[in-house]
Amino acid sequence: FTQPQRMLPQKTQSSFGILNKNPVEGFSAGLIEDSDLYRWEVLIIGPPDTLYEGGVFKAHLTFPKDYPLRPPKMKFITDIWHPNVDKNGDVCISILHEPGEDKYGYEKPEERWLPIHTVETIMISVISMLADPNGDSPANVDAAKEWREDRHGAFKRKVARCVRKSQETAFE
Amino acid sequence: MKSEVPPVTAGRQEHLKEPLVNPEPIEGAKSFANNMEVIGKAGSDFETLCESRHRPLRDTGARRDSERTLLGRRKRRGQQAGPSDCSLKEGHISESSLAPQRPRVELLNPSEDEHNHESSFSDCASSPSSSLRFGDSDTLSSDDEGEAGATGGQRKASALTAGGGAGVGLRPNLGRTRGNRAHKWMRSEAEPMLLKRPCQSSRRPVHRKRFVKAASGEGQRTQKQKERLLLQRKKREVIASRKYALLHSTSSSSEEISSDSSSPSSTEAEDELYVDVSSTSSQPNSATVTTGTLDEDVVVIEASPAPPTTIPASEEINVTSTDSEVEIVTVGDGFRSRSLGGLGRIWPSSCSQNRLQEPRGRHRLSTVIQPLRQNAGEVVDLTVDEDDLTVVPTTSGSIHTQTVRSSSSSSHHTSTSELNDAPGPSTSCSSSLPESMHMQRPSGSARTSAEDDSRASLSGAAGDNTGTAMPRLPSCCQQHSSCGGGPSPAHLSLSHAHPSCLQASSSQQSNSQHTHNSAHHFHHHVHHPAPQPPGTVPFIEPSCPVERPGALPAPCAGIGSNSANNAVHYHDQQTLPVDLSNSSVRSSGNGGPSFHGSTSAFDPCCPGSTSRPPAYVSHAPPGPSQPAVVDSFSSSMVAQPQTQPQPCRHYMHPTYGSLTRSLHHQSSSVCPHSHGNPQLTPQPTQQGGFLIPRTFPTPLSSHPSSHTVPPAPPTALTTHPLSNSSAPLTQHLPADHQTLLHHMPPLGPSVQRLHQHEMLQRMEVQRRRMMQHPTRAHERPPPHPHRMHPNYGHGHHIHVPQTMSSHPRQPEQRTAWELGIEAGVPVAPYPSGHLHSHLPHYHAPPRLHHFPISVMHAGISDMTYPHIRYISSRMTGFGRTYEDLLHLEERLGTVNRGASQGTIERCTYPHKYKKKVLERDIDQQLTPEAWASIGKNMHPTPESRKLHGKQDEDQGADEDTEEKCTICLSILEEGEDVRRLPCMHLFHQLCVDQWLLTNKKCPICRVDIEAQLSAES
Repeated sequence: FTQPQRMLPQKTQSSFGILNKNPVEGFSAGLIEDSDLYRWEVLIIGPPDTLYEGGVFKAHLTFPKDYPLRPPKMKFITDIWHPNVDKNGDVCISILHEPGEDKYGYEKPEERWLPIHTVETIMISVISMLADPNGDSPANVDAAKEWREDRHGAFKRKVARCVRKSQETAFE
Repeated sequence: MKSEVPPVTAGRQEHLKEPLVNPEPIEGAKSFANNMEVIGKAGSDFETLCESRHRPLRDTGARRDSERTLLGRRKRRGQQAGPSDCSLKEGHISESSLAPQRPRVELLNPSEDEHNHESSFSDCASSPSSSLRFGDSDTLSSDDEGEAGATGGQRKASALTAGGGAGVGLRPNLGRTRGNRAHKWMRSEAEPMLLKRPCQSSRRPVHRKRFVKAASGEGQRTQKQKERLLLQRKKREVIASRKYALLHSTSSSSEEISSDSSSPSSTEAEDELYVDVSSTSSQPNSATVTTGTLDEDVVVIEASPAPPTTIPASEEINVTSTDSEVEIVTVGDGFRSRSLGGLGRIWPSSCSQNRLQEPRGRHRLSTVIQPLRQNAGEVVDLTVDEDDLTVVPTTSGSIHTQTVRSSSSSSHHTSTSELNDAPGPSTSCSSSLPESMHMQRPSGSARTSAEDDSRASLSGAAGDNTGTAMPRLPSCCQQHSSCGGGPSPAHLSLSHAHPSCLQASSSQQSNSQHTHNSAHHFHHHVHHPAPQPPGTVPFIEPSCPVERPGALPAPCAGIGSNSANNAVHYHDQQTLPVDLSNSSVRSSGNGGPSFHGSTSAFDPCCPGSTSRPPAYVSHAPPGPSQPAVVDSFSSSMVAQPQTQPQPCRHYMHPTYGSLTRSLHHQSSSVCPHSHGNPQLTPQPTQQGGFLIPRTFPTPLSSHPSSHTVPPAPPTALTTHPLSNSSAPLTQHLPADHQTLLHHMPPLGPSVQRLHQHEMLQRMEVQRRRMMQHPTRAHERPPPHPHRMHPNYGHGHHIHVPQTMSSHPRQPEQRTAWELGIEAGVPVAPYPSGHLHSHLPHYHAPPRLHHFPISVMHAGISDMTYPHIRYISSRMTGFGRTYEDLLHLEERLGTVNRGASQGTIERCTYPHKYKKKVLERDIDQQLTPEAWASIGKNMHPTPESRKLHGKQDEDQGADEDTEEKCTICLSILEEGEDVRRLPCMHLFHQLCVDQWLLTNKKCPICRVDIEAQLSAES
């Protein structure tokens, strides 16, 4: 299995290159440590016209050794109140779920991880997630409940609090 | 009817005695003529067809008269309790039987006739007696019906022979054979008949006789039927293979399969029918071969489970296996009736539903036909017991049939005509319906056959008649109806073929008929030889393909051309198949001996028959000689089956391909023929021996000697009857056994081949079933109504469940088969030990279809699972059972979507990556001249130069132009191992393979690489 090892760096490197060359609007990414290609840190800008607008959320991407056959894991370092992000910050989106695995029975195989996904595609999905939470598969039940029941009340307030906090911590 | 017949028979017998004179029957026939005319026409058509053959032997007019009389008798009987029939019967019997016996015979005959009629009537009208008969034996009833049909046919034949002076030559033979058989039966039956006990017993005999007659009549048809039977056998084989897989389901599944493939008839019935058909068609040789094959298949299926206990039994089993056959064999008497009934039932069902019902066939037999079938089913299960008893009769019946054949050819025609008439009347006359119904079952088959014949010969008139009759024929009806519609052509073709065949066969048959024994031999020889000459397998195959193609006639014609005899037989068989019961009966009738042999062969061939073998044995006791014959036949049959199976399978496929009933019939018939032919080649000599054996040698001893199997069967099942009959049988059997032995060896290979073929066939069958079911389902209902039999209704219901059950089973079977194939386990063993083991299974199957099957399934499933898992691990798509899938689902997370490396390699295009040629490269490569040649427009321009320069300068641009593996995001480099998926997406092999192993969908477009492939393919 030299391939995966070889592949992963290649991909991550190439991904880096791509990101550098074609910066995607809404996020920035970089290695947490230059020596570890499997750990990335990304800054996600809250998409405009959403409750998360203005926020700068930091997250870590952890790639498995057999990436890209298996999806990386994404964890928000910044506190974020979102139905699809559990209280530990772990992002729960279908494309980050390992293929063939359906812990929750909600996701279709087609929606899961594909080896062609990149940091870029993942980020796009996360941004989309922020803009349009998926209430059907909540990772944060409380947030999901608030999102469904009181989206513009308690939920909005908590999100605003997170946004402010993120702004404060983003530039620390 | 039968039940009534017995009681009535006593009175009737007297009446019948009075009416014994042919005139009455004739009158009756005349009286019926109006109603019957149509039928009579059909019958006449049939007769014409048959007559073409038989006429030489008999006066067609006489036959017709006799037929009419028979019909009339039947009608009268149905109406009046058939004194006239009795008279006719008596006359026939008397003629056939010696003068002293005549009264008895007459009584018996009448009783038989009555029984026949009654049976038919009982079936249709469910006369009180029918209850008795039913009570006596649904099997009996079936037997009676079958017998009635057969006996009717025989009687007709006898009547024809006796009544129709024209058929003197035949008659003498028939008379002789009949006399012998009839005497036997008559004696055994006559006394009872006199007592009216015969009614039942006699019924059986009568039925047997009738069956024999029918069989004899079927002889011609038989050929068609044989072909059909062959097809059915193939189907059966397929089913059997399935059964093997399912084991239990074997019977049902085999039935299903068989039904699918060859005939609609229920598998058992089909098996029986097939067996019968094969026996009839190829009769001794082909039949045995086919049966053997079938049996083998079945045996294989069952055999695997079945212990080798009766290797001798295996031969006997062949005989016993014939049990299924035995039913058929017994058909002669009870068996025939059973088989007939079963066949009839099956056929009808099969015809109507054909394959669909096939699976149910046995069930149908047991359930649907219940009266008949149940009895038959019981018989089948019990076959050993009953069959044994019946077998003896059957053997006698077979003998009769043989004689009948000779006579039956005429008688068959008559019987067929009668049957046709009966059906016709039934169709035309509601009153006659019951009879016709009854008739239909037996006659139904006869009709079918007759119809086929008539169709062929009288396709026009017959078509009308048949058309009318068709509806009534439940199973037959479907076929007929189908025949009338689509099938009719086939029938016509068949009939056409038949005519020629019939003619040829008629001549042959006439010859054979003239020398009943010899005739039998001839039939066998003729049938067998003829088929064989063409190249038993090749011949069959040719015929089959031809027939299959949908040009059933063509095949027939082809067959006929190949061998008129064969053709005739084929035609007969084909027709027979259509008639199912009749066909079986007829087939038995045609190859009365051969049928028996075939039946026996069927038994051997058919695992289910294994159970029957015992029946044979039991039967054997009653009619030792007959049993012996049966044994011999069985032995021959067994041998034949072996050879036949392959042809059958092959045919089956083609036939399946044709699918049409006619095709099925043809296929079945063809298959038997082909099988029979191949087998026949070896058997012909044996046939002579068979004849002798039929005469009553003790096959068992010989069987054992020749076949290791034989001993066991005798010991177990056969022993009972065999002990008595076995002795005689053994003598005869030796030759048969030898033949069997010869055949046996082939069986193993054939079986294996069959397995594969079966697999394929099954697949096809299933597919076709899927395809056909709807239509068949539609077809089914009508047939049943037509049949009027309560059973049918049940049968339908039952059938449906059966099909339901069967379908589920199939996968398992397939898997089992596949597994077996992979393991290489089942096939080889079957021939010898398996047969024996199968016998028990078969015994059980009829009754215990589910049990054995369940057990088998359980065992198989257990066995298979590992295999399956193994397979599944390797092959994602194939050979998975539901359980496997479930298991897989459990493991889906990791395994589920992955594709095996083999699949990947198979579905994708790996190659060395070669970069696309860039313009600059081209520019560099191409000389100015080349550019010039390309054209000014193509000349490198400053712009292009700029572009090139940019590309050269900017690697990023290069990347854009270059392909990259979207998995690793790296550019594909020259010479790298890349893999292009069906969706045309290109990846590094190492990159994509790892993914495909866990998910066989394209990472980019998510298109399943296999689905893509399949879609493309």
